[in-house]
Amino acid sequence: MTRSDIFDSDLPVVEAIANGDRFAFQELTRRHGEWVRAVIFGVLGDAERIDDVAQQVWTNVWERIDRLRDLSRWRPWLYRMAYNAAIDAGRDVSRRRKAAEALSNGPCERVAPHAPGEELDRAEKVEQVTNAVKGLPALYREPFVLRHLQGWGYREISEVMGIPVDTVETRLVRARRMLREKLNGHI
Amino acid sequence: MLDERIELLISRELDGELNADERMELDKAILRDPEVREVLDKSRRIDELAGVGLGVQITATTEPVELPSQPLRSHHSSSWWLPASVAAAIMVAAFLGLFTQKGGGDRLAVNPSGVSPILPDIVNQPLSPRENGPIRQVGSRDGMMNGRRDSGVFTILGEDGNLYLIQIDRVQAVQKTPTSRLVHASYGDL
Repeated sequence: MTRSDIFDSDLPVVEAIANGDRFAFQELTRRHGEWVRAVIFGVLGDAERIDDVAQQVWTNVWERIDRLRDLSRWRPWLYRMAYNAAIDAGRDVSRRRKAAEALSNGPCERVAPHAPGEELDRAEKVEQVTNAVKGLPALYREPFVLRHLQGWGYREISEVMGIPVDTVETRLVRARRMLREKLNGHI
Repeated sequence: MLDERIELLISRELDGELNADERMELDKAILRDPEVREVLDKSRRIDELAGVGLGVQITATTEPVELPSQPLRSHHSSSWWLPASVAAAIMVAAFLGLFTQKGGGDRLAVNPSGVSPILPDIVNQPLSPRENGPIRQVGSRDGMMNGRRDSGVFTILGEDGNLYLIQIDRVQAVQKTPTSRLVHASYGDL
């Protein structure tokens, strides 16, 4: 059963927003703010810019919802708003440099060099893994972040991102492979 | 180097997407090759740490969403507006009937600030359902009363259990005589 097969309890909220209801708008941000932030992080790999981009996303939602013809498609539409806003925010020299580093598939710079087998405390390991995730190509980072932050299944990720389930799965497999390789000897 | 099929099964296992046959297939692979178990354990550990780390990244700062203060744009007419309008009209009739019985015409007088004293506190406060406790909006209709897009009528359920119909003009204050059959308020920041 897909998300669209069942009653979408958020649809009345979206319809109310389309009629200019600010209460409904705040409710939608409360319900879905976290995964929107996850999408932004997934695209940017930079937590420091999440707040600014998220603010822009929600402003765009408020201003452009009258362009959404089929309100039942609000979820992929919101995803696309978040994705595009993050892409726009990432269009600068430093972002391109980071992306190039990530695409080179080399070891993540911010992973501190530790001898294999050396015991690190949990906080350090969390930081290392987080940095390694940030260093993934956005293509693979995005479904990985949605899976781990929202606990979404393949089908949910597929519906929101508008890509086939098989593609979601393949990207997750590759993301995990890259992480294992990046973190080899650290975890 | 693991077989791609085994990698896929490991990923499905971690995501809770493995079916019974696939689980058996993975179990056999684990018994056959210790590297499979090693990769599974390592991937599980990475997933666990990533969940913790990403959670901190995403939720470290949660700023409230600020809407632009400009007047609302024209919005969709959705399918529920008609029944909502009918319901609102019925509620207005009941509401006005109540005041007529109580001889409450004077109570509808608009005070110099432009806000009727019988309005719930919501009209003087930021529009936030959390801050207004049991007061909640139960309906709205843009431009219902005078056809202007920059005005709206909101039906509010007050904490006293009464329903209030409030016309909000987003551009200018609306002053009505005490005999007005509607309660008017003005939100300067809408």
